[in-house]
Amino acid sequence: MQEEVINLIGSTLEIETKDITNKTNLVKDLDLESLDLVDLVVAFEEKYNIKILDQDIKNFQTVQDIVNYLEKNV
Amino acid sequence: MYKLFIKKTKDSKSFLESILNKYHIKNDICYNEYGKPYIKGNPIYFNISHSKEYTVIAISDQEIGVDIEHLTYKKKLLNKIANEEEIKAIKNEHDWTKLWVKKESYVKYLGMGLSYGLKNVDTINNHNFRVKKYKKYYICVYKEK
Amino acid sequence: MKTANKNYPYYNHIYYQNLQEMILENYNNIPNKVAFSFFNGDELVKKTYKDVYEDVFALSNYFYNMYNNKHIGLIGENSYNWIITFFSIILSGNVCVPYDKDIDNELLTKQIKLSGTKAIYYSRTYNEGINKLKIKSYPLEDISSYMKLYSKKNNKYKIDNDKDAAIFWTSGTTGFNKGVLLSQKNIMSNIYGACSLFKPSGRIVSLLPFNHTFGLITSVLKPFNYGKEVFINNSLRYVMRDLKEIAPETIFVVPLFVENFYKQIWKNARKKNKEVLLRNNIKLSNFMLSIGIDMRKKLFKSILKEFGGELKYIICGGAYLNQTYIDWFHSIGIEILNGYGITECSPVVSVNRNFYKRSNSVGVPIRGLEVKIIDKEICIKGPSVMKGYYNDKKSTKAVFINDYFKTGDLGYIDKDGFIYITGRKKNIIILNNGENISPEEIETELLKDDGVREVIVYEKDNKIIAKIFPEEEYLKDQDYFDKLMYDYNINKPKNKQITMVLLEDKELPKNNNGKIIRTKAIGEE
Repeated sequence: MQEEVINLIGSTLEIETKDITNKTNLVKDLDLESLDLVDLVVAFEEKYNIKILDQDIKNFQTVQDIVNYLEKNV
Repeated sequence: MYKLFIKKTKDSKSFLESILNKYHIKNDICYNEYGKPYIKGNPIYFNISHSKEYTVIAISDQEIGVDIEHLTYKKKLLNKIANEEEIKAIKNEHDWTKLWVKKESYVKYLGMGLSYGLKNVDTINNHNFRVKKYKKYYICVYKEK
Repeated sequence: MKTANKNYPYYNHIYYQNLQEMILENYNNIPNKVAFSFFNGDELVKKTYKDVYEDVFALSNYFYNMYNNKHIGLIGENSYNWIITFFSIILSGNVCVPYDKDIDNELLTKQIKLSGTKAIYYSRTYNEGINKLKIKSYPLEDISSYMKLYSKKNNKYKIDNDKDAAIFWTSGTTGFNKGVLLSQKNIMSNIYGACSLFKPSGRIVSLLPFNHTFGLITSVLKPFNYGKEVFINNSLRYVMRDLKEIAPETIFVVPLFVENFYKQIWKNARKKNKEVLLRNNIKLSNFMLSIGIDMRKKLFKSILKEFGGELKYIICGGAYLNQTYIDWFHSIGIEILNGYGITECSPVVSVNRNFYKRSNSVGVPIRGLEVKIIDKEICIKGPSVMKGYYNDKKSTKAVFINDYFKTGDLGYIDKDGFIYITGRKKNIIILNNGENISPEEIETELLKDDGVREVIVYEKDNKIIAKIFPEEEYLKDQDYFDKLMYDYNINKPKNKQITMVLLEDKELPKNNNGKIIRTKAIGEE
């Protein structure tokens, strides 16, 4: 799951994935902006056919957070 | 009232400090848990935004939100961030970017970030948005009267 | 402070030929508007333009019947009665001679004699001692009874605008009091000229003594000219109370007030432990102003409230005011407009305008006044310039060159017409309450002492200092000269006392003619 997530991040945002780990912080380490986050959220919604609520987005601090969320809701 | 400062930089902290430098206010800047700057005990408000190479800082005597975004057209995101009426009006990248910066400037004004839900931001009936074009970017300031 | 501002047109208003026209016009247009207000105990009394007209009408009738073109003295604390009496004396064809309520009887007697004052109207509260003088004296408190004395209203005095109307005392450049003769034309043209540059808004609180032209003509008659309300403060003790209570938008003061306000503000801040906050807020305010955002009312609300909360303009004149005060008050939201005047000019020569000012300047000349620099000295010509010194043709002649009056101030005018003062031609010390001190007078008296060989008196940080080169046997004898200073000060009012005596152990620097070079003697500290 973790690998899938990292790859999706890489392809959606068109960035390198080799240094991304589960501990990577989206904002602090990857320098992601709101637009990037929304982009990611929509990408995840499409791939896993889920609806991600706005208020959940603030919990996506690290890659691990996303993995946990998906594991719980997919 | 507000004033916008725009600079080709990614270091917003230094940028802000350089603006305040002249008046020896540098050392009084504090940052809250979200990294949002403020001056301890003082009623002046800042908001910062960056996109690609540019950073914009808005300074005001009241709550304010600002967002800058490079020209973009992400059709895919429209359903997530906009309502039907707004979607109908988006014909090109200019419309899309203007819509985005309006929405963002509002949630930044609130200080709530994305958890507010961009779809909840009404850009049709709310007239407090001030959008301006800057090179290949759009900037929006949100401020209530 | 930015000075990138442009001039704008004169304010247009009627030129009144004399005081009567001004009083009458206001009576016709705004009879029920308040002209003057003051506290009588705890009660706030208001006098309308109608009251002024009626009172002056009745009282001038009294003066007309009592005196025929005589010099009549006026002495007492600022009051409504004082103003009415001033108007009435002049409009009855007599000459009003205001006196300083704080001078001693000796000087008063001298001035009375010098000016040929025939009778004096005095305030019982402040000058009961007048009774002891050999002059007919009448209490100002009783003017309502004087008004009833001559029921036949027959004041037939036909106003001559050029005739002597008032004599104001000035310390002048020789330290000896001279009587400045002003006509109604002088006074009215100064009102017209100055009001063309500045239009007071809101209420005014008058704080300066009426026996000086700045206090009377500028802070009372000019607002009166505009139909404004002037609150009369009658005691320095109540300045802050009155400002808080009346909440004026404009006040007229001398530098001493500005300096004291400044001290008071910091003192209050210290008391509440808000000194650092105040300092930071000022930095902040200046920064926000620089980017076009004005937060002064918000940031300094409690300070501004101490002045009533409405104060916008402080018009300052009478002595030198350091630009840093102007900048500082600007930071907190109060504009100080610095101006320049001289009794001989009825009195305003120039003033900075609300939106047209220059740092370190005393402003632009009032309408109708020509200002010229002759030999580095500021010289003026125009209808505001006095007729002359009373009974002193010699002194009068000495201060005019061609048709220009020599102010005794050195300065220059920049390309935009702003006047800058660089020094005093003679060495008069002007204290920050506007008082003139002649160092030569003090020196003359000190030289009478055996121990004093040479002396120079000067001002530093608003204090009077005497630098003495003692006679041989008294060299280095600080105790002796401290006692000399003490003895000198005993019968002098506080602001004319010597603060410090410095002893030199060598001669004061002199020129080839043996005359002490003042600047050098003072500079060598």
